[in-house]
Amino acid sequence: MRAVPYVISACLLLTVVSSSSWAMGSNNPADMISVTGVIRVKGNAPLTRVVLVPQGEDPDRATKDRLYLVTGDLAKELMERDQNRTVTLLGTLCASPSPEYQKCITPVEIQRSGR
Amino acid sequence: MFRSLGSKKTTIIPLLSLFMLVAAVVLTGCGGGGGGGGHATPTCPPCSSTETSFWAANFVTNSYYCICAAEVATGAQSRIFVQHGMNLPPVLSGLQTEFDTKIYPTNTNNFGSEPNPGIDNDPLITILLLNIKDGLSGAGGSYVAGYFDPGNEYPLFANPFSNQREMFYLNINPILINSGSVTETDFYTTLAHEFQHMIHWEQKNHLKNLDDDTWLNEAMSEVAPTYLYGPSCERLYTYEKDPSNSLTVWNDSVSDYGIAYMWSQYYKDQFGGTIFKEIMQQNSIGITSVNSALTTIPSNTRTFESTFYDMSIAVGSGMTTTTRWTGHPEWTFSVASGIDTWAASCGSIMLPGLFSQNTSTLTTLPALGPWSVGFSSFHSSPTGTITWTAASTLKAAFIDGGNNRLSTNIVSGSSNTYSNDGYLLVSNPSGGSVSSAGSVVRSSVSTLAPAMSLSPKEMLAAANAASQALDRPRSVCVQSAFKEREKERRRKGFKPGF
Repeated sequence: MRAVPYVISACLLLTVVSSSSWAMGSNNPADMISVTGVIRVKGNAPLTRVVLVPQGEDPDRATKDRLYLVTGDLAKELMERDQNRTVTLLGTLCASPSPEYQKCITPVEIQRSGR
Repeated sequence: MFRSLGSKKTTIIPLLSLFMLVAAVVLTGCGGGGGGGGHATPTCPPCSSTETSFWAANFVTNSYYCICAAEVATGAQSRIFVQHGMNLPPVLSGLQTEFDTKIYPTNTNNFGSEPNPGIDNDPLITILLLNIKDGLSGAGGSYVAGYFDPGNEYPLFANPFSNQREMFYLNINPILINSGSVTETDFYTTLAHEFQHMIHWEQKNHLKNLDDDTWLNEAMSEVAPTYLYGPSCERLYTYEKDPSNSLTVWNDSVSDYGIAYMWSQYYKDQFGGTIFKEIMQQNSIGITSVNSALTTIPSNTRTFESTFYDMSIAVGSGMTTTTRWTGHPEWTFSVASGIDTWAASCGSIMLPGLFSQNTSTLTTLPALGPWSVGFSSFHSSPTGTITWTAASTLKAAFIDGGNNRLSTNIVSGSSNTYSNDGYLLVSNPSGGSVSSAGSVVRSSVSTLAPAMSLSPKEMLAAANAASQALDRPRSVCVQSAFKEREKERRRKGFKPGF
């Protein structure tokens, strides 16, 4: 029974530590979203951009406002490995740096399946 | 638009979307505080009264910077600006006339209208000549010949780096000008290429709220200059250096332009000039827009998929002065385009040839990406046979070079005989990759008289055996064996040592 206060303290400490790390970074589970869709490369070189066409949309007919512009370090990996493939991106919503898109995601994880 | 200077090598350029990387500038830079604090709108320092300030892209640092430029010419369709401290190069003295009287009407006729009067309410298009910051530091590198930045089509509240005008950028880096290897036609082809991007943005992004795939956007820009300046030897070279590159996967590599060009040149040859305007007018993008456009051609039954296969045969067939395969113009690039994929000189460029890669010992053919073609060649004298085995999703054709015979839709597992040279074309007509274009088993087939396939020693032994059977001596000529061996060696390039 004497161990109970220590366990509670440890749990509280862990909660505080993990909360502050989420707050400092962008990995707060509350802010994380998961989007599944097809990866495409758009635009004209050298100003190309990687987008995700959400599942349920026809990639060849979806209007720009339906697409997610993909930013961050994983965009390059998606371009190199996942064009025209369906992936699930786990990440945070971002303010689109391009006037072409309203939606933007910065993924921290790429989930591939069925390859 | 990427180009290579000097050595005509394929160079991968590690450029990713400027938009992605500029995100950091927009959100945290330029005096602004990221994360909800708002940000100050970046502004250019003032220029002199005779100059105008412009935002330009720095492709080395992936950021925007300001330059001042003076308007040096105003024409019927364009305004030409030159970056402060630079002069209009003599090689570009005819630039405005070329654009206004040739490029503008040709591009708008074949692709459609640009934003006009557009965001600046000015019917004239700005052509900004500048030293593009692309990292080019000497001869032999790749460089950005020019670009169209759609961000300039938006108001400042939507894009703080917008110049709010219809414009494109043309690189007049002194290294290029002084190299002597960049001609006025090179600049003109870049203008036609970039102008297509502007039209593409207007037709798809602005008018239809779509955003086309890069491969199709670039393919149409690659064909744009050919209406005025003919086929591109440079791109044919690019293609032959990497002929199995995927058409629909765009990796910001110079190689991507090769197959994009070959595809669009083929479409221009097969369907005429209006096909691209039709593609542009479809309320879809990518392959779907191509298929929709094809349905507008009266009595046409061809599709993106079927034409891709036809194109693979046309590419693999090289080119002759007439349609190579009688009754099948779809299997040859047009005579007018003069596309020749064999090793030959093209303009000032020596083409390596489509089959320059040594495939003579391969048994498992390389992987194929989406919408790509694998090319293999075989040599055996006087004849040989290959048996190709592969997944049913692949489509293949075989050319018997010695007999000028084409077999299409060859079946996996079937044998294909050829005389001297055989060419296997394996097409992956799908959006998925395959780990291999199949396996090949080859064998030589001798059609010579049995005696001629024997060595002199074997021939003598056989003759002696027969002589003993006949109980009398027989003469035998062993010269034929030496002659056949010599012919084979000469075919391979050996020369007698005398």
